[in-house]
Amino acid sequence: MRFPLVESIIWTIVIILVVIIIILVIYLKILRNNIRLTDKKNKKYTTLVEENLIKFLYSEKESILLTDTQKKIIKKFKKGVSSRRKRKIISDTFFNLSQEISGSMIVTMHKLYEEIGLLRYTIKKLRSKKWNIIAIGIRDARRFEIDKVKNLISNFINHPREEVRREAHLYFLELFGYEGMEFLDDLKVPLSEWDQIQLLGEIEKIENHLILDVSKWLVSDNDYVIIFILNIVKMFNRMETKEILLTLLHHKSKDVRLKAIETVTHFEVLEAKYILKSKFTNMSLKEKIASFLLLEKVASDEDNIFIINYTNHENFEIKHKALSILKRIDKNMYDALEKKSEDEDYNRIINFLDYSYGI
Amino acid sequence: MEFNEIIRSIILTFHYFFLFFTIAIVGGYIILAVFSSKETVDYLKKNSFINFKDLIKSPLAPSISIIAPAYNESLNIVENVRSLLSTHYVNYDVIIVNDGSKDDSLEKLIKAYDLEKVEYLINYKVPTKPLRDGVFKSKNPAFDKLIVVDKQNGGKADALNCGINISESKYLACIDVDCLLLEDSLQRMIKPFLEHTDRKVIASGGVIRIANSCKIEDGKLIDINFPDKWIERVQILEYLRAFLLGRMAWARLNGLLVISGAFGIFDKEIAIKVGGYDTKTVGEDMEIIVRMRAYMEEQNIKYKVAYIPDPLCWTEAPDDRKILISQRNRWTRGTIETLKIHKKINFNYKYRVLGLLSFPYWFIFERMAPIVEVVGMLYFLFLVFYQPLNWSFVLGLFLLAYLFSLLFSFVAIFTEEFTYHQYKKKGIGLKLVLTIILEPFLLHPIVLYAAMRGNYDYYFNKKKKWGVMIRKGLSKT
Repeated sequence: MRFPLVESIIWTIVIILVVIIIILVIYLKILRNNIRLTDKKNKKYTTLVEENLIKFLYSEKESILLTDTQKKIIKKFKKGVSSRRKRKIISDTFFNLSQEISGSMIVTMHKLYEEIGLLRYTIKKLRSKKWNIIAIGIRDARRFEIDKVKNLISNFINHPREEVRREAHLYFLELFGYEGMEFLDDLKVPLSEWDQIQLLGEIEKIENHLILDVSKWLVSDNDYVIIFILNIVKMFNRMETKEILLTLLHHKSKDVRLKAIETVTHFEVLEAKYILKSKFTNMSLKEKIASFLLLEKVASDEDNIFIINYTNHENFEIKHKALSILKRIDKNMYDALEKKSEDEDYNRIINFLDYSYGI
Repeated sequence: MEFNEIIRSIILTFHYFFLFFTIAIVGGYIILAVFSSKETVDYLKKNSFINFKDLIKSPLAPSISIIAPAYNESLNIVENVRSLLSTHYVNYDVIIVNDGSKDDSLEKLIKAYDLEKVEYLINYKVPTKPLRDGVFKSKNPAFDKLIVVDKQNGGKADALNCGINISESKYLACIDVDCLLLEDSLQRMIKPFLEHTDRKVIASGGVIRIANSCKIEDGKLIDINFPDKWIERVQILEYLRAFLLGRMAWARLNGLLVISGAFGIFDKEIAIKVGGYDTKTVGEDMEIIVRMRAYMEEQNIKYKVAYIPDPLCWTEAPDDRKILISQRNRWTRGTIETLKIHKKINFNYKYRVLGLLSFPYWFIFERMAPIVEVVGMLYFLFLVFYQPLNWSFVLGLFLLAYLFSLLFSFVAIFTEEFTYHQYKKKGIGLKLVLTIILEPFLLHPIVLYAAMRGNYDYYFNKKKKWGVMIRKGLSKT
């Protein structure tokens, strides 16, 4: 059997592949060399930028006029900014150094940021069509506290890409403190756990701890906003929101209810106990377990009848919590319980509570 | 029909079968390479401005239990545990499950970490072998994150199940105790679980890198080197191809079927709902992912198995042919077992991507590929004896197959160079090229032999289980 056409196709592909592979080998060599070289160049240029920047900051005079050295440095930076690689190095070095200085030097550095044209590039990034470039633009605006672009960035609060909107949210918090939280009024999209961690991290850095009234966000239409604010309530002990917290125990969203239970547990709100007991049978398993965590803190002897009903619950955690709470609030009732059961879990919990608990 | 005609039609059938199989496999690789490059670019874009620092101290950081089964790991256990305890994360514990070791692992741990036996109420959410000496915690507050469980031997899956029962965390990081995790591993691996609001992330897997010849001090990776031994070099190339091309592409398609047993994070709730690890298979890492995915599909819940290409976990690869064969033999048996256990998924439209893409791909191109290859070789020998061959055609075909394999290796190497560029030192480039050229002759025959042995052992040697992996210890390299 002979397939001359197939054979010639195969050999043609073989030759093409051989050529491609030879090119790849050469390119690999060039690429690795380039990476090494660029790395070296970047390190060298970073050192140069650092030196120049420090020289610029320390040669600042009382007068508003720039010294000759400063003018020369600005010229060098301006030249560097036109190259993408150098621009990135300048921007990163500026940011790194801004973390180590304070007072008037930071103001000078921000002015320099504008003067050499980095601001222009930041605004250009914000107008980009690529989401990642916009996100980097917002990050740059955040790093250098550029409040001029506030309106532009407010357009990104509900951006379809989470990375862009996260940067926008962080921008508002970092630049405007608690007032920046107003973006939550307009938030229509979810706030992931990751977003919340980043935002809370930023809130923690705000020096003024006289936080705004957060009540309005606890009744937001966006469940994610409520959950986020519940985290703030817990973190900053905003006990004055107690009444709203109690209403949230009836919220339509299971996640909000669960977070609300967690928050009232943190504050050990006694009134919550009555609400949760009254709706216990209709709760999800997670809510039931969370409710028992509250009961663990606030249950008293008046709850013994309620608690004893759950000492044989099918869920291990509820059974364990019920037995340990009962032992604490009504020892007589606990002692009167059957200590042997067909349920192995029950026996192990009893054994643990009677003989090992607390070791 | 004459005899010769019958033979001729059989030969034609074989011809077309092998032709289509080859086109399918090469086409499949090309498609995977395209998807993988898209996913890599997206991943790098997404993570180029991410700040992980807030997670390290956040009160919202979810709890993670690192579960590390240990069996006769006395040689390095103390150093390995120290490395795990130095992870940069705020809310985690380390559960070492001593799976009935016959050596002095437990004694060494007790001494090194000042452990004492404690009473521990275990919720047996998944069945596991009973405890032996019990649960230990340290008297020293510096090691309060450490829990050591001593249980009867039941194998790796059983030890992991024991860890699941002990854990009180929301997520489980299941790892091999001898693996070296970079300090920020947990931060990076947990991120996918926290960032998705439209779907539930049930597991997240990471790249496994080979640490042979690398310099490691006090459980930290100091210097990355390219090994001298060819058997180690070819495995490095193979891992790069598998992790940076294959798995990355499957992650893009949300069709990942495997998260390496060496390092993966799981949603504990789902892992328990599906019954934990299967103790009857040697491929427990693949099996649990398939089972978790099947569960999510059956419950009709939107989900994702995430994949992190950052080089976070470094492990010791076999530097001996026999151990390598034993390891690959086990991987083959694990694949066969998993595919057999879940055969109802194969080509089942109810399981969507899992049933119509991932599972059939694994069945055809992973499970069946070695068998097809051996049959192909035998068929070729038959042709050599049966009829005069067009040797130019034959040579062209062999070269084509060989050059395609080189091409995919180059794609993997370029992905590595453009992204993480871990092998920075001068001279390694040439070694990489030589490895690419020789790998089909050095590693492939071993892998093929091991896969066939795995098939044989699966059907005719049921008693065979894990096999032995002799560790030299990373700190000694």
